[in-house]
Amino acid sequence: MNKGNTLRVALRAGFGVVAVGLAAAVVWLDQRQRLTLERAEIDSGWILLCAIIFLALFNVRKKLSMIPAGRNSDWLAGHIGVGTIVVVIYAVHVRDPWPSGYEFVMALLFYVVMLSGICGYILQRVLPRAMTNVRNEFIWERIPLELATMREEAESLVMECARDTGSDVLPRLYREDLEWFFRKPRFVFASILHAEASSSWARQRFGGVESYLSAGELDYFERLRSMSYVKGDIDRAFAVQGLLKVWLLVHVPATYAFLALVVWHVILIHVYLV
Amino acid sequence: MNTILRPQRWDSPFDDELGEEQVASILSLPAFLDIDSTRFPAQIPLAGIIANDVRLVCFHRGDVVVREGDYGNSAFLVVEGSVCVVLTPGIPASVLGRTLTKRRGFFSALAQLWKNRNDVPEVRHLKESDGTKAGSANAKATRVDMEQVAATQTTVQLEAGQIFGEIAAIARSPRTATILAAADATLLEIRWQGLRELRRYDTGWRERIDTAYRANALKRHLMEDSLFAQLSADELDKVAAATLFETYGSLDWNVQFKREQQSGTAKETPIVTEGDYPDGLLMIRGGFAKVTRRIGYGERVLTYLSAGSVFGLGEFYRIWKGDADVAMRSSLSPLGYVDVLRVPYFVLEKYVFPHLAEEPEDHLQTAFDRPLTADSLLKWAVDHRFINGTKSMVIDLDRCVRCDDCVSACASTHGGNPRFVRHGKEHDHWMVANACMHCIDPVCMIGCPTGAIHREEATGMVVINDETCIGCQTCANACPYDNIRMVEINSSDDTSIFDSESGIPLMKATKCDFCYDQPGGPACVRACAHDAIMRTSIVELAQIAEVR
Amino acid sequence: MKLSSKRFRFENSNYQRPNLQWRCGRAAAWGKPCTRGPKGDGSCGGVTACKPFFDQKTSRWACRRPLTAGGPCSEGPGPNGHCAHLRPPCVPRRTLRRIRSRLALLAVLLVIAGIGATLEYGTGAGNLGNSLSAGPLSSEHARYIGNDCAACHVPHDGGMETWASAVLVRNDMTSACLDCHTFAGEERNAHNFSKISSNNLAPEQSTQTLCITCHTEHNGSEADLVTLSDAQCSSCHQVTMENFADHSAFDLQFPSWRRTSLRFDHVSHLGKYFLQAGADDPTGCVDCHVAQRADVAVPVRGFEETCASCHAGDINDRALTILSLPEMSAEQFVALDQAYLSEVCPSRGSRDFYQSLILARQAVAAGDPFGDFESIAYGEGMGPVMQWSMASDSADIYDLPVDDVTVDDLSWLFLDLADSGTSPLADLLDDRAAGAVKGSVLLAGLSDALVRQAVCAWTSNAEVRQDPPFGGGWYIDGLSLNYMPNGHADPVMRSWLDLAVAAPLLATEHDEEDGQALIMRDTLINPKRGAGACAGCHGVSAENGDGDDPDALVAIDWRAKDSPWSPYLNYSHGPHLNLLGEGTACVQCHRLKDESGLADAFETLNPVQPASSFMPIGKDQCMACHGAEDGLQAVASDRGCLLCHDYHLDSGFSHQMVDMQQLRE
Repeated sequence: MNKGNTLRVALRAGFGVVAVGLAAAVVWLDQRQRLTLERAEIDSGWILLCAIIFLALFNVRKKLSMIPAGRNSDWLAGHIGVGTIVVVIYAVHVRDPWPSGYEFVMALLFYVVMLSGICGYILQRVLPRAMTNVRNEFIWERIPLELATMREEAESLVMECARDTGSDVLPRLYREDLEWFFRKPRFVFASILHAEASSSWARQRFGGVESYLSAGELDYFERLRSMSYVKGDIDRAFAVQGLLKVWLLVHVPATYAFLALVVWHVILIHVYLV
Repeated sequence: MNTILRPQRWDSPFDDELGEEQVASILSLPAFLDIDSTRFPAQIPLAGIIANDVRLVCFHRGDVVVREGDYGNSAFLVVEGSVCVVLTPGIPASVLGRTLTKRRGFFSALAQLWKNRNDVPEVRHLKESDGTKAGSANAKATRVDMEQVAATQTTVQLEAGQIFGEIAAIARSPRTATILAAADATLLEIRWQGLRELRRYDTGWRERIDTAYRANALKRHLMEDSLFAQLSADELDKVAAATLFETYGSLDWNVQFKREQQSGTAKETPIVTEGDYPDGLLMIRGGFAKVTRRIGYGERVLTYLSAGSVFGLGEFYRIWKGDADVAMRSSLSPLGYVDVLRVPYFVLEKYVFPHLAEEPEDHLQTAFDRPLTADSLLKWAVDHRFINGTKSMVIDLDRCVRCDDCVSACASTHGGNPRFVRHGKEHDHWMVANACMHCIDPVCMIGCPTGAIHREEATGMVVINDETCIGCQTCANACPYDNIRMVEINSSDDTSIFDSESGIPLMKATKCDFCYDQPGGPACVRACAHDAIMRTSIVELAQIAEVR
Repeated sequence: MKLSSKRFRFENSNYQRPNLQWRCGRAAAWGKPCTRGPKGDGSCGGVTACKPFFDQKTSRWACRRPLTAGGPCSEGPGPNGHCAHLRPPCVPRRTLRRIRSRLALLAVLLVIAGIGATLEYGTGAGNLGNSLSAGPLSSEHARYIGNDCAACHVPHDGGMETWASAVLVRNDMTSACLDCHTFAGEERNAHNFSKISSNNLAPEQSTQTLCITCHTEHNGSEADLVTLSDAQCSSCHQVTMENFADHSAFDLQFPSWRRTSLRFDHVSHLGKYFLQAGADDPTGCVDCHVAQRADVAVPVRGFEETCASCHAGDINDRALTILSLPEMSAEQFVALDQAYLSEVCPSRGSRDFYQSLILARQAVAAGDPFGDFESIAYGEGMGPVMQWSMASDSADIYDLPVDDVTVDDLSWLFLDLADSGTSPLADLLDDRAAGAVKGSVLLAGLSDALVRQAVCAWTSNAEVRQDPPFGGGWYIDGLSLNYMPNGHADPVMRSWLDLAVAAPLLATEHDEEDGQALIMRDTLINPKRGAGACAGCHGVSAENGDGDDPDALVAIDWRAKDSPWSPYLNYSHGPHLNLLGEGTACVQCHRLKDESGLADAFETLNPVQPASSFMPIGKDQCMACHGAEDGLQAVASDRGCLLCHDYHLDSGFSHQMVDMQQLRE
């Protein structure tokens, strides 16, 4: 595995060098064509289109796992590499960063795709590490089930405690704070930045109540408290995994819109210019 | 309401052409005459076993019956003729041919894109059982030149009444030798399910099988180990006679293991304890054992041993060199189940050490000198018996972005149904997901009534034949790692399929099959965009974990 | 707290199916999802927990809840076979992947809708809301084209078929530009290169270009369409210039590739003649050159203001002889129709008639017109003009020695002239000139009386001697009819010289006639002896430079005209003059030679030769300001090549501003 890894890293590095070389070649070609009064935008436009199609093919590849079509990690490396030089080729092709007319919308969509892609890449490199530090791992789509189970458990715990001890401190705590807490993921935005945002809220609540409890209640209290820490883990997982899923909701639709405009652009260029 | 009759164990006989007369004639063979058929339960009568779990196969002189290295699920009884077991040096693959897995073609694979059902899960187009064959038919056998074999190979002949191939069936390991038909032969192939019942309900067969297993396994293991490579056949016989075959734990160790996991305690009696006087070199023939040394008040796992490893060579070497006070430096404990060959010192003194070029390396000391926390991954893997896996799905949680592309890809290669769940036990940033690990010792296969779960011949991947699975949940319950899942099957119009007799929704056992029939190999690995997922053994994982 | 690993068991955890389209609505509302999940069509699948089964053996309904949902429930189905765990159906929601697909589809549809909706929005390129707009036009074009996209983009007005074919066919926008823009040469050639732009410095190649190669529109209303960069010029011209200092050296003859139209020797005049004439500052250029109208050249003032003071007299010194006759013998006279002549001529004996007559022989005074006298040879024969004008079928008349010219040959002429005056001459000239110059112009001011007087005298064997009239005009001098110019730019003289240079091209059947024309021409345009002294100052140039070619179009350079180095060089004296005081800048670049060598240059009809009183101008003169040296910013360096060079040849517009009044009329 390690041997293959070295080869893969070397190949990707090589690809990166080739990509940079290609970008440099495009820049050089553009400069040269401007000097020789050839329509530099036509050639740089076609190269840009090919690069964009290559980028878009990544989404196609993701739907084609049933045939041998290369590893997605190689495709992603290619996507990032070509995506980086597409910025250069775009700058070369479109001299004015804010064109007018429908091209303005195109430029805007391109920037959205580019920025969302860069942000997405950063998120994907940074956030998984953040989630590893969480005690428990959750599948995002199962969080409603986890919460529902947790709620049932907490309620039965609290009821049992009330039955056993006759004290209503824990039921009251549950009714006033924990029911709201366990109903759905809370502190979502805060949890993105700070892993313990939700757990620390819970810690506060529990810390304030501990002194009201009798010895018999303590066991239930501990179980309820550790349950709330798990809920904190769920909130963190929900927030971070949600962010990891949501950025694609920007990147992919914007890409489709952009591609539609690219088609329009190519048609117009051929009808009106070339 | 979709109902069909619930499938039964013997809906798909091993040999659907076996008529009543043939069954009777088999039962009249010497091997079966002494069996007390009353010992067999009513649901599994002896006649039924013969009718459904065996088949007659004919070979011509020179045909390859089994290839060394292939996986197999059955043992053989020679009915007529003879077979020869090729011992050394072994026939090359170019002559023997290779068993190949039949994979889908490119367009068949691509067709899955539109044929997969992404609306209804687990769609089956079921009809009442029509007796489809369970395993692959006996395809045209390769033939080799027997004269050549006689001239170049050391062989052993087996005559009518002898059985062979039981090691592969019982231990679920690759065939240990190539076996050819020495003359035109008729063999009775008994698949594991039949063998299991015979072994369970008849003492004679149990003894015969166990004896054969132990003797053959011992002999074979000694023959193949590098320590005894230079010995002649006679010397090997002498060594074999002196060696003891010991078994610790039971073949179905998963039961014990699950109990231990639930109660949280694990107490294995060591085979060898640290500080003991060395009592024979231990060679691991099958199963797993862990090597530990005392540290503080506990035992530190240094490594684990599997088939092919030896334990104690270093100590005996020092004794041979003249050291007086040599004690075992580490303990050896079984992990679930282990077959051990105990080789006495005099054998080593006479046959092994004189040929050794240099002192055997002490890897264990290197392991012991590592920092304390460097062990944690290995310890965790040993504790959870992940060491059993050859294709464990290990997810690097530092890279995984939880996109579920791996699950989608798995679904796309299995008709829209994923075959693993992206959760599992975790250690640090490694997760071993609940995907079949294609174990070295797949305990899930032991109890299957139909043989639906079997080892794929060429690669050894553990695969469930969906058509012959009757949904009894034996394998799902047996898997110590929760990697097999039972699913309710649906018909094409999104309604469950029920058993017409009991109304219970029909189920099938499903699990990862390592995409053995897909042209690209495991889809999950190819689908991960972040190099987060790998199918690997723990040994490789430990190497990777040092850098990642 | 680490959760138990029991949750991984197959009874507790079934597969996660990311490829399904729907997820449980209860889960979406943060309730507890059912285990069944939504159906494939998006409806709730968990209304019931199981499908109860009627067990025939026990005759009871039994719960068949699957293992993953908890196995059979303790309540069991109702008596009618209904599941005890009925729930109202949820509203399944789409999974995130599905939402993403739908968003993508929506995005595409929005774009298509947006394009369609704005296709007709406003009109024209300037309207940025239009999905066809590529950006606003420059203000100049926008003013004239406005919203008419089809003015340049022909397929714009077409339908789908036009667009489909436009994709495949090359767009020719150059023809759209040429609807309004005109150029002197070939529009599609680089530099509009064509014959008329050629001089011996023109580029060899004629590369095909498109307007849009250099001029790009849709760059905003403030965009400058015409200013191009040096780099663009360098696309064809293989020079790499950082600044003017790197410009190649000017041609050795620059700026005179052609002799000037007027033969004015600056060297001799400034060095000698002006001084002789008593000028204070003989080198003052602006005395003659009008600095206020300085452009490519600095025009000179007219003859009257500059040259007349010295040279007016030269002109009045050389008359043109259009008719001259040999003196004839008595026999020749006798042959004339005296009777007719007596009728038409005024009385021969009258004093008036003989007023200016010079009698050849005293014998005539005795009243005998037909006295014997010798013929006096007229050394030059009939004179070139007459020889040329008197075209006749007989070639003899031109070659005959004068003795042999008979009166018969000329009698018809005399009789005609005596009878009609000037008109026969005019007709004769019209006939010969074939429209090049009108006879009436050539003989303007010639009175019938004078002609008659001349003819009658000749036919009386007498001569008339008149002085040239004061202020110029026609007069008779012995045997010739002359014209004295009345000064500079005399129109009659001018027309005679125009005729003289045009005559050789008037093709005739006779080589002798062509040869005669050449003689006439060469006589008249002789710088030293030519009539009117015109050719002494005005250059006579063959158009294509080859003076030896008899078919060459020869013209007289009447006006002082510029012969610019190249139509593509747009140097203007204007900004350069008087920078250091009036008249001081000229000598910065125009340095007098020691000897001009102009005389040789004007000897031939070939004007294309460098002939100047001044030294050629080199790059150094320009470098002083336009080269970036000594750290000083070069003057106007930002203009680049376009500072001095033009690309197009005479760019103009085909449509002109018209007076609406005129239009209505």
